[in-house]
Amino acid sequence: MHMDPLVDIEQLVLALLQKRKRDYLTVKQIVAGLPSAPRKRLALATSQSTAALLGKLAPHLGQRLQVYKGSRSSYIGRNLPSEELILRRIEQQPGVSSKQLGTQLPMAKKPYITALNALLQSGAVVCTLRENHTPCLMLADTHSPLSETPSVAPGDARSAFKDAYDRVGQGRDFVRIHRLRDTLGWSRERFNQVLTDLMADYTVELHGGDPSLLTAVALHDSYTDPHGTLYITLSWRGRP
Amino acid sequence: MDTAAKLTLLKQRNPFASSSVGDPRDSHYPHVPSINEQAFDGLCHLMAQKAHDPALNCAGLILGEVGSGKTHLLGRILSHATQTQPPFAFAYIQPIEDPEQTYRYLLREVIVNMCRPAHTAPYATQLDALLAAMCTEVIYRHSRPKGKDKLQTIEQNGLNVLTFLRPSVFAYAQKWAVDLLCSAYPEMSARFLQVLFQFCLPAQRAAAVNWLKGDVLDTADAECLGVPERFRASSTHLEQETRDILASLGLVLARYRQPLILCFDRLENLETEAQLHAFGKMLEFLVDTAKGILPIACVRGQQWQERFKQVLNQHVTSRLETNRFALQGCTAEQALALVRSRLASVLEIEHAEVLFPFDADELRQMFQAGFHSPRVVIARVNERLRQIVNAGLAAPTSPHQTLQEAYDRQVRTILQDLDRYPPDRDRLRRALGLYLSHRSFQRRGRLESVERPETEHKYIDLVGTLKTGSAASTSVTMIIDVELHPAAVSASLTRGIDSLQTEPRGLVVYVRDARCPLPPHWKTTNEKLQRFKALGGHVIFLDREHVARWYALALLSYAVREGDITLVTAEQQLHSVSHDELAAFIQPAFDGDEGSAFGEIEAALGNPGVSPPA
Repeated sequence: MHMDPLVDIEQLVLALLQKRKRDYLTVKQIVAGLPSAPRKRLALATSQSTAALLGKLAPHLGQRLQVYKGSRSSYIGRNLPSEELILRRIEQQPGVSSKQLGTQLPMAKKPYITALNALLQSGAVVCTLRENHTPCLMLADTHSPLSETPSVAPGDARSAFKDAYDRVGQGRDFVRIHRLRDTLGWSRERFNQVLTDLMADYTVELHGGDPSLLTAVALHDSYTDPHGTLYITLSWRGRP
Repeated sequence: MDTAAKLTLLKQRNPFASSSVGDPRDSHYPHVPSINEQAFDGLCHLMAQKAHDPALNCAGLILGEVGSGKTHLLGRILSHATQTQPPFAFAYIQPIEDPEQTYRYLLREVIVNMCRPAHTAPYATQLDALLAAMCTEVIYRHSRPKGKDKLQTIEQNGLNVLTFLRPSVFAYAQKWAVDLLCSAYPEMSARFLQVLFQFCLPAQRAAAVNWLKGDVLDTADAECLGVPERFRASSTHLEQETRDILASLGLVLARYRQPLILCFDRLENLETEAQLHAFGKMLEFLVDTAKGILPIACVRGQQWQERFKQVLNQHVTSRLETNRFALQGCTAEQALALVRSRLASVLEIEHAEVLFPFDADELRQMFQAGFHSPRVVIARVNERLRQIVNAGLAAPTSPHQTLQEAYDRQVRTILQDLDRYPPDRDRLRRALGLYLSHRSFQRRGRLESVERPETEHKYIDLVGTLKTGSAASTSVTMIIDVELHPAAVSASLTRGIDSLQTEPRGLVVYVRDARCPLPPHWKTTNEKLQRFKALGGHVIFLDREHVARWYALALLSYAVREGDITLVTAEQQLHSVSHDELAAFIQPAFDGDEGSAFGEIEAALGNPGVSPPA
């Protein structure tokens, strides 16, 4: 059955974004991630210039996608307001510095600063300073995830984590993070916070692993650090 | 040197530009002792035990994820191996492709490595050193006191004993060595020793190496070496003979205290269960039977647990896990030591010590929260360095560009030392399979269902169907051949002729590494080749350049599967190039123009069923 090429491309790009857990990708990343049949149909090749690729893709993006012009590259992403893009990125990387966040977003510096200031004024985003004076951003309701469950002390969280590690790993050294997340059943923010704390004091070590062995859901429930590095398994290194 | 000059130097020779090693023999960055110290010390201890007791049944297992420093650790072991007493020889084994030839593959890889230039003077190769030790022992036993003194003087002066032996003495040494070793070890293969000694004779050397590698020699070479022809032997017999050779080699390595480390790397490329079982068989044999050889396997941790341990026999996993070493990421101080060592490869030591041009506290802050793999450390410091030297953020590189650079580098490496990559049908098949599966089909038509035929078609490597426009489909048969026996070559050509006679419109391509020529005195074989051509078969002899390009593509695919080809994305994230991106790279990169890696294949695809001019 022949699909409507308009719907086809829009849906394929949305599926690609979903798979990569991203709101936007560079135009060439989009082209490289498309199946070969639509690439052939539209005569797309990553060796072509971004402008040429955009010229061919733009008519097929539909209502749910849009082209973003960043400071260094052009992107295709979900059709979202600037504020929403910023909020979603901070949610993925709590504690990201304002400067780093700016380099990751598909927008020029001026509209980014304007949108971020609006979010800070509205209280949706809070800003704290690190020891080296770097301003770090968090969503207002998630900057202290452990406060969600004040009845559980940090020590308890640690032993609960170790208990889950032992149960899931059954003596293995490389335990899948998504299985720990599933076993513990904590909120995403709480799990990430405990994990970050355990990493910080060298109790656990995170590993890259092989993403091709995982489903999309398992990948989503693994862990991506503020630099965008995906971790799939972890090893317990600290005291038992 | 002033600050600006130092910054310019760092910009020009950025020591953080590369975070992967590729081949441990090509590692050129300094080692940082504190990183993975426990694993290194453990392996050194294992080597010391093996050196002390070559019959010790043991193996090592290195577990680490992408970028954790597995290959770098192997490089460090290689450096250490040359300094131990006795020094270890080192063999690096690429993943096995054909599980039907498990022991022949292992033997070939071992012999190719033992014929490489040795690190220890005065012997050119490990095989020379082994022969010298054998000759020294037996000549010493049969010499008068004066002769013994002379032998000792030669050894004490670090000279090559072999160059002092007259042909008659060498012939006696061979006889004495065969008698001695065969009586000392009932399982020793006398034929192996006889051929090994002919390695020293220039006229027989090439044939001896080929026989030792397990190749099927032509009649003249077999007669010259005084060995029976292998052509008529069954696959089972050849595998058994190979086991005997490996076991005999292990015995002499152990007797003369010339231990050998065998490193199995890039094991993520063992795609099928049969390949995994072949790896298991090799490991079990090496640990239990082949003395003087210490196998070390590098595997990604998750894969080891979730794949290897599920498939491999417990005999194998338990042997490996007895000495397992899990690699660990860098602490903040180790990360700084890594930065310091890389800086020292470019700057003077005092500047590297103070971490110029970085701020030590800033780096410490960067890496203080948890373990970071060496690759992540290098990538982040690279990003910071580029900011400092005003190079801006690392320009995002496309997977295509990254793969092209890695591929070009691999081609250059192979061409610099083609002997390290002897004719290898499996590797050529992988390259051709990759190309045919992902090639651009705009010009010559679509090639569908490229696959290996059933195992009974042992002379045929790949089959597929070519579809061009509205024309009927054409069957495609690819035959790759590196055999050295005329009957084996004839058998391949016969299959090609049969295919053409069965299906005259079909396309049959016979590919041969040009390093395995067809000598004019193979009359029947050459006549068969002419007949194959006359029926419309295509014949491709791959010259040095083409061989290098084909092998480079096969090795590139291993590196991609291993996650060893990385790039920096627009978001400044480190990304391992995927197999899909390799597939997308192959389409435009190997366009099939005349002179390109697969140009002759494309030319053949453009002329199915058409006889070339005589």
